[in-house]
Amino acid sequence: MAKNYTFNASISCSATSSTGYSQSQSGAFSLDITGIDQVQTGRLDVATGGTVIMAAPTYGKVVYVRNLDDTNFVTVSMVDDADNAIAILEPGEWFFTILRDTGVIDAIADTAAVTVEYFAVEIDSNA
Amino acid sequence: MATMSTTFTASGSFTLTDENGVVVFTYSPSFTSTSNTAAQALYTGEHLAQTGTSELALTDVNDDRVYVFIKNVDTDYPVEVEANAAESSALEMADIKPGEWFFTPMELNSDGSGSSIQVTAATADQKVQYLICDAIDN
Repeated sequence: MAKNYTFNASISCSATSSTGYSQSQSGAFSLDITGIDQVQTGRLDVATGGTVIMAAPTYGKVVYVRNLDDTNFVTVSMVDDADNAIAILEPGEWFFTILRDTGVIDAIADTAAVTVEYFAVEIDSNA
Repeated sequence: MATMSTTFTASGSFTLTDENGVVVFTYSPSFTSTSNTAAQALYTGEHLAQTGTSELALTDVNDDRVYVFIKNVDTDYPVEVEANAAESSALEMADIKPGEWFFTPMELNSDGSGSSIQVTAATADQKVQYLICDAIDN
């Protein structure tokens, strides 16, 4: 049965040069999500041939992926095509996005299968 | 190669709570990049995303991989974020409403035909803020 949720997201990021120059940005927001079915989260092995992170949602999604591998990078893309990359994640790196479309989210490991931490949550048209 | 390096740090927090107050998940990821002596530039600022598409100026950025944070700081309409993709078509990477943000280590363009991030307002021009920093090639 479809349920309602509240999603909260915040970030703090900074770029720092060894010259002493530094810049930072931050953000936080909340989404009320109503009547959705797809909530996926956990850890997943991503294959070099591609692994689906999220099947096509009805309206849109919020997506987070973190590369837990020690060595290899992983590409997160729209459809099964590394050329349509949203993120290229070196070990330890993560990304987050909001897409208000019905596309599939896919991940492709580069050299060998990697484990990722992720969530992919469907959002409704009012979110 | 420059001797002065750049590092990038990103810390996030995400929580999903259901209608009964049950926390479905919570994540608090963080990383600091390795020191990058090849970094050419870091950019930060505010930009008016226009309805007819506008581009963040990235003259000296590494188009192979950059850290990108963009936040919609306006009040009314969504902004779409796109990068030139390898297949010569713009790829939508985020659709952010006022107050929302997205962050990703991304490739601007793997086919070498240009380096840009396009921001397009849906209905009327909207302001975004950004932080963009070169990353080490994958």
